[in-house]
Amino acid sequence: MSTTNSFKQILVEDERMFPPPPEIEEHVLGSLQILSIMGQAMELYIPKVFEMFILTMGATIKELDQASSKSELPDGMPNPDMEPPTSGMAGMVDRSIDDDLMD
Amino acid sequence: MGTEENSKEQDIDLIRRFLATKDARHFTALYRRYVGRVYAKCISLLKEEHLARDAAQDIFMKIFLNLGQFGEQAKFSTWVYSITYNYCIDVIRKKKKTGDIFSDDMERLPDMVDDVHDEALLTMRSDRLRAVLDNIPVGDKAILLMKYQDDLQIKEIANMLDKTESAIKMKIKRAKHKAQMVYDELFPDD
Repeated sequence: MSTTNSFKQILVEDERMFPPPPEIEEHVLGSLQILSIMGQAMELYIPKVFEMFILTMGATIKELDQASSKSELPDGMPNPDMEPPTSGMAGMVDRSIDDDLMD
Repeated sequence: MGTEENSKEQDIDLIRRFLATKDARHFTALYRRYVGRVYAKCISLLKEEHLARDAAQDIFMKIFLNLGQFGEQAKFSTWVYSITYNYCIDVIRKKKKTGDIFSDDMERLPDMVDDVHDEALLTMRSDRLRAVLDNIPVGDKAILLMKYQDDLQIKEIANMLDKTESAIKMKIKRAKHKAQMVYDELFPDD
């Protein structure tokens, strides 16, 4: 089978004839830097904002610390401080808050 | 083939490192590897430099924002080209106010067309092939580029265009036939 492929040749010629203008790189990499900085800022501050929200809802610093210390236990180890899982809606709400705090 | 495999590994390594570290240098390396081809494809399909420039910018932003969803089952280049084609096809649709440039009701050829051998297209002089591609409907051009320029599999094209594999096979067959007809019209002495 012949190795000639004029379609690929066209692409090579197009790349040579139409080099990408530098504005594309400036725009893309500039946006990338802004988004990266925003992402890092969110990673740093969103958990704090969430903790503030929980505190305004009436939780105490001690409860927050307990919730975050639970996440430090190795997998599968029961937490002696934890109450047994509750059934029904109340348990679901509790667990969802815990999950969020552990993120 | 070995080089392609190496390049694939390097792409994947760069992606993994970028996702793990968020270090812009890894994405910049990917960007520089593909921007030439992506821009050339945009120019080839959209014809206007300002449209191609805007398209290339948006395509790389899409790649950046969706990199975490890149499944490693496909080659990264295939994923990049599928974003490029989909974006350009979308721009053409909006420009032409056409619903679907691959729509079946746009086909004017009967099902029973003679099969044009791949060799006839692949060995065509590049300037003539360029002229032919510029004189067939853009949907046919795009599908021929996917198949013969980017070596996309029928299944990959079908997934990209949300069509069945048999529909894609038929579209390729018809596109080849149209290309041959246009070639005969443009270069009757050959």
